[in-house]
Amino acid sequence: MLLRLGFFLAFITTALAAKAQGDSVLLKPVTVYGLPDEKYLAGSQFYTLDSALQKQQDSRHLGEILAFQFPVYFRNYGNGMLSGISLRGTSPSHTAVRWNGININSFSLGQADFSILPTVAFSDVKVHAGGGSARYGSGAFGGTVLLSSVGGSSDILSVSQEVGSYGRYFTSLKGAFRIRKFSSTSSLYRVQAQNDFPIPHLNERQPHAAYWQQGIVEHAQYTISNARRITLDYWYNDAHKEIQPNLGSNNNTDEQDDRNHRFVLSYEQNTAQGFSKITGGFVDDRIVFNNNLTEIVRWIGSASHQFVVAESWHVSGSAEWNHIIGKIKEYGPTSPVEDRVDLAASVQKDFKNVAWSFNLRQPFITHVSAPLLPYIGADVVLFKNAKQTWTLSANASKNFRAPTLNDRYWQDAGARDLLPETSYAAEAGLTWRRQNFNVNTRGFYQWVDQWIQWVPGAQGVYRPRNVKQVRTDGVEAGIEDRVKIGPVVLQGKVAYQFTQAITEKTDNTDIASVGKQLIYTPVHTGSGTFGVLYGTWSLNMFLQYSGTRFTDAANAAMYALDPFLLADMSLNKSYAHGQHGFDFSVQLKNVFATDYQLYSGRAMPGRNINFKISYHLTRKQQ
Amino acid sequence: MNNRYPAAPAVTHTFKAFATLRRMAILVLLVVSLWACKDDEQAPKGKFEHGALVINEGAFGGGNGSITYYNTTTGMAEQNIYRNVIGKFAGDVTQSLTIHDDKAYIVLNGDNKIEIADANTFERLGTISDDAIVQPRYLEVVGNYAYLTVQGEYDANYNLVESSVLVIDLSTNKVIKKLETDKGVENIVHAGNYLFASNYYYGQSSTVTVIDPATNAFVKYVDVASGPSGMAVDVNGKLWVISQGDESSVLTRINPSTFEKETTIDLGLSADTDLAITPDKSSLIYYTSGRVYKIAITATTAPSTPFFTIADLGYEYALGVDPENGDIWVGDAPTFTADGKVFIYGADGKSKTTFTSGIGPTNFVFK
Repeated sequence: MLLRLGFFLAFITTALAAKAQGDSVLLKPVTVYGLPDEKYLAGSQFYTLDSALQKQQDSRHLGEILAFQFPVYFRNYGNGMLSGISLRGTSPSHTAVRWNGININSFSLGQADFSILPTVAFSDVKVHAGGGSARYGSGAFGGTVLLSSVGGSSDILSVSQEVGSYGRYFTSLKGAFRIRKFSSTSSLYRVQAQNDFPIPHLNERQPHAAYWQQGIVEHAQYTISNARRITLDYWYNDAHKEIQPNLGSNNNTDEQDDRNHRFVLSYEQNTAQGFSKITGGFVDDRIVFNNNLTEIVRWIGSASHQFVVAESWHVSGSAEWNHIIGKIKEYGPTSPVEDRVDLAASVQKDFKNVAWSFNLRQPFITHVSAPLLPYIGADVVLFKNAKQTWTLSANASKNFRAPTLNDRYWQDAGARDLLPETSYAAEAGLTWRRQNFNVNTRGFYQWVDQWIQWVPGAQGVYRPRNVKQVRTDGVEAGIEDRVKIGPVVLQGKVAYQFTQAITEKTDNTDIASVGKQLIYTPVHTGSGTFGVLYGTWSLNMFLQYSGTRFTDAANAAMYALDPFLLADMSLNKSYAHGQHGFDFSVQLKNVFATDYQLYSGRAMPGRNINFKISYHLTRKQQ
Repeated sequence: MNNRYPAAPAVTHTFKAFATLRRMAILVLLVVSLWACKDDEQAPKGKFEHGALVINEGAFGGGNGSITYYNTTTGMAEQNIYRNVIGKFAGDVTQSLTIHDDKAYIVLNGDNKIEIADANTFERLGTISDDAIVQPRYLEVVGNYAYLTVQGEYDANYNLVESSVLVIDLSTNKVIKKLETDKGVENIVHAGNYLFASNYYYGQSSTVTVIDPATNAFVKYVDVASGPSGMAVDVNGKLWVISQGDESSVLTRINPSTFEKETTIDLGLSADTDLAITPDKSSLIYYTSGRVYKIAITATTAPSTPFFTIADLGYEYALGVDPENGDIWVGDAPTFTADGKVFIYGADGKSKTTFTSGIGPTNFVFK
């Protein structure tokens, strides 16, 4: 540990020395801005949620729409129910989800439930695919979902109302104002659904699957001067679900409420010395399952600084502290308290044809010895002329996932001495861009060790243990184009991913899984979006394809879920008159009435329809 | 343990509930063998008329509980022989199966219902559903009535609050009466003139409920060591109950007419919840951690060494004895994430064969 800390400090010292040297040469003040993550994670692949899809389907949760955007799989336990991501062949706890810079995965379960991430709450949704622990910390194996709610729209006011099949209603209200140095953006939203859809091929309606979800998002900002500001972000989400039972089940009463408060207060300054940010945060995650409350409270403090040396070397350093209190009955009479401190540093440089970056992170966790996490990556322009560009991207990283609080503190089962999961990941890709036409391919590989699994021991008691080794590898290809034919714009994007996620080694009790694909991890995944734009009209089609998913460890065909192709369509029209704008949208979901399941035995609805009307008032043009 | 994943830590808790063993109502064998003898001369009634059934729970919440048929003559297994109205599997958490009058009553603990199949062809005949069927466990038939043990709902602190025995009229398939009982009611057996239901509740209940099928009324509780579960009726018509006990497991012999406890034997170990009986009904079989024990009904102390040991057993989950040849069957459900396995040992305690079952083999029915 000391050696690692030493290595880490040496890295920082070198960087600072380099800066000092730079300063002596460079006396004139420079404007330094914080670089986006894409630059610090050179050689990586990022996906951004398509703005048309986000706008039209912002009443849906992220687990319902992301799979239309890029090859990814969500195991949804029914319609609107618990939703876990499987990104690049990993399991749901192997994707980190961050909101405005703080990790919002469940600290008790490890994973993020995408059904309580309503799209309307976010102004920006981005996904980093592949290993990224050096930048995003624990759990960034398959990737990281980056969410922000910082507003940024030019609307002063917007109101949306939706009405859809199976008693589904959605309302959102957003308002923004600015008074001198103070500005504020607020949103309120509510979605509710009876969700009693007819079960495909069965003369019954889905019982016990109603849900509602509501919340408030606030982003406020006080600009002290051009270079200094204070921002406040607050998000409260309150979700209630009747738990959709498996097909044919009677007398179900399980209900779950999720209530999440997330609060972040930041001070930022951007001066000749660099860009600094100090953040304080508070997260309160409550789950009420059948009136049984579990709660995790978290206090967060972080500080970061970015600066430039020798004109083009970007360097950043950060420290983050999480103080976690696990108020869960099953952890025992005394709520366990733990601290996690992460120290991280990054350096980035753009050469003529090479953009290069290096990141290093050292986490420190109560009772857990965490490894030093490097990330190195580069984007190399192989060939470039006026018409086209060929780019080679590559990166390699070491990643980790801390054992969850359940893994460590569950009474009579949890193990304090569990090791963190670790992974080594590497990938390389080639991109060819010719005007709007873009083709990219990428191959990836990851080796996960010390994978934690709950396995039965003496007296049939399940305990978490570091028993599993998993190899994931695959290739991905995507094509994107946009053409203009007279007044009509056509755009399309398709992507395909081949993923193997193989258990290489595990506990004897689970020997059947060795050499087999992980459950709910399709080998073949595809996505596609197509749009036709004509003036103020647009027609969109969104597709997702998933190959066979095994639901048992031994990959028996009998328990596997059949492949499916799912399509959504939407027709949209907007009117604008001065500052006033109206949008109308009709969405046809599951156009082909595909009979599919995302989780074994949980029905999903057939063809259904949704109407949306929204009004927005924009700022006067200055 | 992927089924830990669903919703909240609560699920792990629920899961523990399922990790306790289910056992077969031995009396079924009596009934079945009677029918089997009678029909020997006739044409086969169906593909599954003779042989053994393995009841597989499936992955909790996955709706993929199934029934495996094993042809004891050819040694061939056929998976997933019964499909419910959805058409893929028997249902969620297939708990137990009771055959009566050529009908198989399949108790679905997760689906809160009973599926009815033709016991010889396993064609679907119908469903018994009722608001009172919540976490059903075992079913026993006397005359035209079925007696179904149900654990009932959990409250917010995971305490069972309304365990009962439901009386179902098999001519209408309607629940006609609810007999409240101690928490965590489990097995139910017809012995002598009464029905006996063990109140297990993971060792927190310590009674056996007595019901009079002539009046469908509660008679009394018989106090036994804590956590009674598996039961068997011996050659003398006496009822044997295996209990978890406080320190170690206990066998209790009950006189089914006087309800007197005649014998208690401390087993000196923590046995699993299943109890089986040899074809001559003179020896009981129980097991723990892959060690299978045999004890004569005349014994006064427990055997110190196992009858045989299964070395490569993952997680024992079912125990049964073939009433025709005395073969001892043990079901292995290593993780509930993949198909399980059945070990067959001869009456001499020597390994005979193994075959693959569905996920989580929990009970055997021999017919």
